[in-house]
Amino acid sequence: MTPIIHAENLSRFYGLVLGLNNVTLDVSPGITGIVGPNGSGKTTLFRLLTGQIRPSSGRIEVFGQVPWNNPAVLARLAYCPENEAVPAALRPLDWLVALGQLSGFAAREARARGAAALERVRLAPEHWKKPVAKFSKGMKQRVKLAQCLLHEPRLIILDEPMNGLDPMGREDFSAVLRELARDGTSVLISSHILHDLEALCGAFILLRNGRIPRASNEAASAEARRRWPAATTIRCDDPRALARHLFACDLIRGCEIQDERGTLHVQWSDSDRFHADPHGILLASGVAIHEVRSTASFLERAVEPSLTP
Amino acid sequence: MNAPTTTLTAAPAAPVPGLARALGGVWRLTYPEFFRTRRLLVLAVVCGLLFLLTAQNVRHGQTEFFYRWVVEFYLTFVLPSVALISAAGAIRDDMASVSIDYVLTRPVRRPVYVVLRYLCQVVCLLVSSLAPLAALFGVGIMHEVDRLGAMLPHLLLAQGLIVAGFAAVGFLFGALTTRYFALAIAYGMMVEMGVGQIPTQVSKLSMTHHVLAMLQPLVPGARGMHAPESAATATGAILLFVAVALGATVAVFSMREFTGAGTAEK
Repeated sequence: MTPIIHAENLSRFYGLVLGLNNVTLDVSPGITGIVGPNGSGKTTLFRLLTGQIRPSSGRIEVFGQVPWNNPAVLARLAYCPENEAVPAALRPLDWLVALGQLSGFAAREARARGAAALERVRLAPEHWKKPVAKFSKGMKQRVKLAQCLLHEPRLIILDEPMNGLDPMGREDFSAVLRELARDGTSVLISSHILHDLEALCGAFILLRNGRIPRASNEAASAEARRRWPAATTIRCDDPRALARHLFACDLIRGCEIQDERGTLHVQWSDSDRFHADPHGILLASGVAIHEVRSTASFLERAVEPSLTP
Repeated sequence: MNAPTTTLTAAPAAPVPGLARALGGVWRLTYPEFFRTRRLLVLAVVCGLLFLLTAQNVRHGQTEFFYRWVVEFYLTFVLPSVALISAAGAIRDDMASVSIDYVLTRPVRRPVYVVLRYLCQVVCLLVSSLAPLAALFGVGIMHEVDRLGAMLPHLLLAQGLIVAGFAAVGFLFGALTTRYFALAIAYGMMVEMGVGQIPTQVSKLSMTHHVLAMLQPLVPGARGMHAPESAATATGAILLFVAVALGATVAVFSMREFTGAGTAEK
């Protein structure tokens, strides 16, 4: 599949400060999550993609073209920044009409599209008459997403769009993004809310210190996501007895017991064998089991700081 | 939950941003910010102060002194300062994240955007500068100054030229540095008050020189040190200043990288 974004040996420095360092990546159509701690280079990557800054070295292409000062690229993408800055005096629909006109629509069509976009992100009409600057953070996020939908872009870049949204708002957001993906729009999204990203994204790019650490990205690869968890937390009546049983079965390579909580954290030496028959193995231990859960999501494991490039 | 799969369908045609539509968009972004309640209050205060100051200085029937006050205080000091600082602030605002992230990620070329933004800014400045001129004329009517109606077109033209010229210079200063205020003071003292007062051809580098030279034969009390200029010559000279300043602004703005968050633009 032809990538919509291609970067090769891409670096961006701000004086002595590192933004991105020799990054090579391809992004295919679909929803792709960009994951990394603060300062890992996510926003720098987004600014490069939206043509706001140029690479210090290397190359970046969006839809096969260099994005810097390139209206042909900008006509096909939309950007929702992380910051909350919005025009102080404008109401949401007026703002969207202005942005729609800048995207090439006549005022009437821009107004119709703006209204449709606000409805799509479920911003209640009673809020349409207030200035955007007076909105709550969650409402601002909805308007910021709405401005992305005006011109039916082929690529939407969302920088921390879930910040400030309650769980229902996040689900609304996710539903809109899934609809967009079904309609053929690609989405590049960064978020610190990893379980939302896991549910939403088909692919991930993990950034750390301006680089794409190979180990982390392998841990988040599609192949890795199909694997069973490498660690599990089990809440039971007798964690020590259970640990002895699992060791005897040669299933675990390490464990941590918390007697006071009645929990056992195990790291599997043969995760596939355990997950082939978890009930049988646990029942054979003779210990009453209350809860079994993966210690961390695959994405949380992938971004663990212990993993180095 | 499984990640959604993407089906690539026929891409909708990307809209073609025409100049008129882009102008409409920039206008819709410009005028609400310009005519916010807080700004209108500031304008009202400025007009009130101008009215009081003028009423304090001009005596009944002092026609020539009144026009000299209007030309030398208002047209060559107050209005240029306001136009320059306001325009510099406007382009500086456009380098903050609220504009960069939403406006400059739209398919409008940066040079086009700068020119459209300038036009909208000048229109807003022209409209709002009618208020202080009205305040001055209010004093004129109060003190029974002669020929107010006859002078109005000349003063409006001069006002338009001053706003257009100094807004362009303000755009350039704002695009160049965050310390545009210091640059404006230096420019005013060195070029407009310094070079512009030298009785040689070099004074033509001053924009207020051209406006004064245009008003000299028309408005009583307008003193010029050089040969009078026709309205067409003065307008042409100011438009040349506008073209140069705006061209330089376009060059600076187009090459500038926006690293975001209203912080370090590089």
